Amino acid sequence: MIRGLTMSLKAATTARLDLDSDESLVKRAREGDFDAFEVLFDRHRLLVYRFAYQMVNKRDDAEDIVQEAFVRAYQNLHRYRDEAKFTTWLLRIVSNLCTDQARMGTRRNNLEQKEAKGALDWMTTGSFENPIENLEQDRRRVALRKAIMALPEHHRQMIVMRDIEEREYSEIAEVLGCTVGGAKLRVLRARRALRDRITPLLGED
Amino acid sequence: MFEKKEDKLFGYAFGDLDEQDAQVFEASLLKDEVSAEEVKFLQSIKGDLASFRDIPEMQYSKERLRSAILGQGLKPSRPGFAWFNWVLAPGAAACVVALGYVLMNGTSRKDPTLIGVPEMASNSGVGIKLPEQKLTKPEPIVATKSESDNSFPDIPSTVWASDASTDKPTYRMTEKRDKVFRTADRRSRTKAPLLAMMESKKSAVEMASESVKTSASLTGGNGGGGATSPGAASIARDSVLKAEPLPSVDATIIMIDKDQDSGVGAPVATEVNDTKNVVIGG
Repeated sequence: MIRGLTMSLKAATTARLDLDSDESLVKRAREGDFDAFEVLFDRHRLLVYRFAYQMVNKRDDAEDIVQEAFVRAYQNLHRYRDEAKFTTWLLRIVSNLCTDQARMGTRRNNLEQKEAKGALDWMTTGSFENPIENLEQDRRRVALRKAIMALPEHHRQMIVMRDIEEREYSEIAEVLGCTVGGAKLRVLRARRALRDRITPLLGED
Repeated sequence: MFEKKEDKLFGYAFGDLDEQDAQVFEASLLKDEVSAEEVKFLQSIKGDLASFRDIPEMQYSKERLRSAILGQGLKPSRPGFAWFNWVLAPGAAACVVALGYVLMNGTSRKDPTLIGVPEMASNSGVGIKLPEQKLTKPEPIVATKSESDNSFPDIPSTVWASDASTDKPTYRMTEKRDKVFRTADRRSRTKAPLLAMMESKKSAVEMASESVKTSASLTGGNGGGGATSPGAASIARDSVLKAEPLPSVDATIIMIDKDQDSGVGAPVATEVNDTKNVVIGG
């Protein structure tokens, strides 16, 4: 009797988990259930925002990317295949959006810098730390942020995903659509590029 | 070799090496101060990168997303049409190509107009017969030349013609003939239906062939001009209506359409080499 109850409870729990899984929510959202999509949004919006913020280093821009990413995801739900994780698919969308945004943002930033004659540097590096912090460390971080933002888009993505967000190589490989070995190689190249860029910046200071 | 060492250096500094490899590399660092410095520098970068994880709080709300999606009336697109488009696209492209081909090549050949050229007339007398049923519509433009008048110059200058509908003479310079004549391809296309028509009219021509010998001279000696005059053309038309048959001559007949040729600016003309059994009419 007790065993039967336990089994039915387990089955109910499993069914509930299945109902709450990303895949089932996607299925419901495809059929027009917007509440299901809102659950997905609540679940993954921070993931998307974190990645977007690290890529663009501006909150407003990052929030714009979040909105655009979820709008695109909603419109293209039929393209999502269950074999990949929903978060991986979402990150792929965000990654593409960041690339697009970076292309436009470079032009815009150059224009803004020109107009402000460099006065916007402190804003674009995005330092929001406590000013009492150790000055040396702060200087290094500012230089590092500059170096990251100066990296090509594909290198920056690798640094953000692996060294800031600390994602597994297998997940990075899924997002990039390559092998784990390929992902490792890309991360290594990105780290080399970052080192090459930060060394002169620290030397200047 | 250096690359492998550098790979291990990065792997060790960023914690990507497994435990065994990390121990081996750590032992090698004790003998290599430069590498040890490099590792220290990279580890400091790694620490700084980790500190970037703290980010400002997100202020984007669910309501904004709702208004962004539902406010604009966006819906998930249907997957069913994706494959259908792939099937439909080649068919649509083929239709467009076929339509383009028809529009480019399917020029209408209504109301062909025949005129005689001087060479034709100079070889022998010409009498042109217009079948009675063709006289009403379209009105043909005809020109003819007396068989007795051999005063045309060797190089033809002008061909006069008369438009029966307006009764106004029209003419074309025959020097333009080379331009007006289209390719052999077009000529071959237009020749076949004309010859078929000729066959059907053959018996009528034979029956009337006797009267051609007695056909009157249509133009009265305009030898200096080298061409039939407008008045002569008008007379010619009247004579033609008396149902003279077409003689068998080895000359050229030019068919002129009312449609303009955009390249030349003149009506489209087609040359028919074999005039045997030709009945000229609308």
